[in-house]
Amino acid sequence: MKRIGGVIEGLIVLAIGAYANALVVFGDYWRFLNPKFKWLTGATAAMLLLTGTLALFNPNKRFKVSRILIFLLFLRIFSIGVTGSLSFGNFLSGFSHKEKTEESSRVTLNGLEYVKINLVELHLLSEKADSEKTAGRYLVRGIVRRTPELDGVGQFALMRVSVFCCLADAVATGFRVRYDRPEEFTDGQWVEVYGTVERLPQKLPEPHLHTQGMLLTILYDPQLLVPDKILPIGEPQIPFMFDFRTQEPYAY
Amino acid sequence: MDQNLRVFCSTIIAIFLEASPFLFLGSLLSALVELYLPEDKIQRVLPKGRLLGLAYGLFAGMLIPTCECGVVSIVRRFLKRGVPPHVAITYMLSAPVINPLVLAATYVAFQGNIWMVLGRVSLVAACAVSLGWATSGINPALLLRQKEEDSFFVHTPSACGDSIEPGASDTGFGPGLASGCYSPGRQDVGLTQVFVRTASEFLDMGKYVILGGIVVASLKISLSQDVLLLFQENVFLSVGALMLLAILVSVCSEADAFVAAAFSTFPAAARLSFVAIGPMVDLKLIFMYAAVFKKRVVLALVLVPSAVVYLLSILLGMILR
Repeated sequence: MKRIGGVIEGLIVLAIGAYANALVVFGDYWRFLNPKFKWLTGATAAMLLLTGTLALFNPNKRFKVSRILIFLLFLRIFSIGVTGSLSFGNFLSGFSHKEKTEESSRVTLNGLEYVKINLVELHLLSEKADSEKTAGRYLVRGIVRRTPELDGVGQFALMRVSVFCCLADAVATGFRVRYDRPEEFTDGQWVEVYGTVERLPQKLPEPHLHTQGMLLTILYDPQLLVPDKILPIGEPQIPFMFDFRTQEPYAY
Repeated sequence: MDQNLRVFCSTIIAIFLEASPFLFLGSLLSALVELYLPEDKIQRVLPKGRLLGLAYGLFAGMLIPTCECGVVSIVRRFLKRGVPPHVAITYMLSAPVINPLVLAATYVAFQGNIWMVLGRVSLVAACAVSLGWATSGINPALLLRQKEEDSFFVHTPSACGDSIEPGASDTGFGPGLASGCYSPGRQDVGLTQVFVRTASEFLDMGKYVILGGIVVASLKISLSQDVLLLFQENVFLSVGALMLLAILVSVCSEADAFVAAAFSTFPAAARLSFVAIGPMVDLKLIFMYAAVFKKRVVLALVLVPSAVVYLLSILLGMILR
């Protein structure tokens, strides 16, 4: 019996190593952790596979039933979590692991040049700007979020999820966008906004945005996006923001 | 399938995957200490004086960086090997913050604000040194739960001091704490045994990460952000609110500064308290503390850092106002 318990514990370590390895190799990793840690999880998975194999053939007689039960529960949780697509209000659905191809860091629209940048990067840039108006024109993308409070002041929120380490610390962040006809867009619709950044003259009422499963949903007040053009787009292959750069080319 | 269930499961998986490298490293170090590091060698390396010992514990994280998920396992083994509590406890509380990776992450997250980095180090150091000082001179065995019987190797009565046998049990404490006949830190133990011991330790500590993760995931799908925002204007309330949030959501010490920085409408003191308390007290850590330490020690490990961080953050908040 003691031997069987030790063998089960070895199998559990092996299974965790195999699951972690599969996530790194087959791409579902992106749903849970920032891709920059892929190497770390891969190395851990390899060590767990080695450790589990050794533990399997040299079973520890001091196994504990409680930890076997908890880890069996965890493996069940794992099987639920890794199957099917997630949808945090469309933030995660259709998420794939295709690598980004090298693209130009600027685009031209109607004769004007725009710097491609993500919402967190634009916030960091705007925070550092001395003037009332952040110099330059920018292209950002995100999900339209509407609330009665925002509609009432002729705005909608442009939001994306940023992940620093893992899904547990994911935060939905974004800007208010000045737009007189917000009803033209539906809540959850992906758009790209070409425009400039201004500072709001006074604090506006809290729009009470909430994103399911997110620790926080934050609007970068008092910054405001003033659009030259808004275009509907499909959901990007990588909807999360994982990378935040302080100079061009931005992660976008 | 219910969306909440999927979010719940994904959050638990994310927390475990994030913790697993550090959990594994902590388990491996713990096994190496148990099997290869005899108490007399530890005693030779450690400084004799209390102050030097505290300094040693405070900055050991610069050499042995680990996050809060891995450090409890290492410290449990250190204490069983007779490492003085003022060194071990100070190391346990400070290493998840006072290490190069976390200091760099804090600096980047707060956009090069060195005062936030220094503030975080100061708050954590104050807690670590306070508890390290308080436990100084106490027999390590009195801090650990007596129930702990997970030592993999044990002295066999027929060959006292010469032979160890895998799979048996002893008190789990080092020679200074147990019979005196048991000889840990054998040099002839094979690598296989190191990994078998590592697997056992990994599962032992990992189950508390999972339990903590389950509670955290439940809170994440039920907590309302609007409640939190009610407290942002008042420094006394905002510090308390963000400290409670740090304890409940258990964000890793390498990522928490980025989350804290996002609370841009909260006072700096509240954001500082968030990054100071989380690596010392959070839900998964409380589970781990309860598994390793006696009740009174667990209470001290939760209450002392909470009180110190709260008071010092308020003080800083009033000075910076």
